[in-house]
Amino acid sequence: MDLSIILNTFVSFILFLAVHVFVFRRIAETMVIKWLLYVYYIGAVVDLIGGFFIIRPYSFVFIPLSLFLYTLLVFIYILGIFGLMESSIRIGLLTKIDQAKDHGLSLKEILRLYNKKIIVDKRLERFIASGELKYDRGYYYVNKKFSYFFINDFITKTLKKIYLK
Amino acid sequence: MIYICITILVFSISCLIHIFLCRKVGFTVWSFGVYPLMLMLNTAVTFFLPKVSNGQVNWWTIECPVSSFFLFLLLCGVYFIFLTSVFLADESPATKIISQIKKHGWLTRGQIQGYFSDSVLISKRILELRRIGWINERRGLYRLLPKGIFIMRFISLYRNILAWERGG
Repeated sequence: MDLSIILNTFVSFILFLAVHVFVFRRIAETMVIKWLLYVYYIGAVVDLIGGFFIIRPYSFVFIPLSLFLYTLLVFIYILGIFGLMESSIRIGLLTKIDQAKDHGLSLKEILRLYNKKIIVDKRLERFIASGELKYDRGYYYVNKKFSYFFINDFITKTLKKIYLK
Repeated sequence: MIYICITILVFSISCLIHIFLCRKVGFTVWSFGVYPLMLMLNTAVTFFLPKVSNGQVNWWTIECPVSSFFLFLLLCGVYFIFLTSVFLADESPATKIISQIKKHGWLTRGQIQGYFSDSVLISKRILELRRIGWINERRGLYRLLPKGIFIMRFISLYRNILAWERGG
C-alpha cells in the first residue's frame, strides 16, 4: 500500500509534466497562470482515479495523502523551476546579456531592452488573462477574493516576522 | 496514518528548532543542517516503530514509512522555497503589484509603475549577478562568465522543451 501511494503520486506528476509540456508549446504567454491550474487539475483527477484503483486498503485516507504529495511536487516544480524560468528578473537579464553574445551589453542598452515598464506590463497582462486582475477604463482592480499571491504575501510576511527578531 | 502524523510532528519540531537557531545566530547555511538530522530521526522512528499484528492493522496503524519519508522531503522543499524568497530574494514584482492594488482598491498602470524603479529591479540585480560570478563588466559592457553560460545552457534547454523564447 505504501509503495502504491508513491507510485500513484509520481505517475500523476509525470503526467502533469507531459501535459504541461504539450500544452505550453501551444499557448500564448498571457495564458500561463490559467493553464498551470488546468494542467494541475488534470493531474489531480488522474491521481484520484489512479488512487481509487491501486491504493488499497483504506483508500479513503491514503488517496488524499497521495493527492497532497502530488500537490507538493507540483508546487515545488512551479515555484522552484517554472516560476524561476518564467518570471525571474535575474534570468531575464542573463537572457538579454546572452543574446548580445561576445559583444556584450552596456547598462544603458540593458535598460532599453529590459526595464520596469516591460516588467510591470508583462505581469499586468498575465494577471488580466488569468483573471487575477480586471481592467476597466484605465484602472486595475483585484478580481479575486482569494488568490495564490495573497497567500504567498501572507506566508512570506509571517516568516519574516517569525525569523527576524 | 500514525506515520504521517509523526512526520508532520517531526517536521514542525524541525521548523521550530530552525527558527530558534536563526533568531539566536542569524540566518546561516549551517542552520539548515537541522532538517537532514530530523529527517534521519523521522526515518529511524517510522522504520522502527513496533509492528502491529495482522489482526490489529487498521487505517491508523497501517505502515507507510516510504510515504512518510517523501512527505518530509517535500514539506522541506516547499518550506525552503518560501524561506529563500524571504531571505535571499527581493519582494517579487508580481506579489507587489497585487498587494498594492489590493491596498488602494484600484491603480492606473502609471501608478503601478511608480512603485518600481530600474535601480532596484535591474541595477541591483546586475550587481548581484556580478557578485556571484555569472556576469562581468569590462569597459562598460556586461558579458556572461562561464558560470552564467552554464546556467544559460540549462535555461535554453528548458525553453527549447517548452518551445519558449521568453521569461523574466
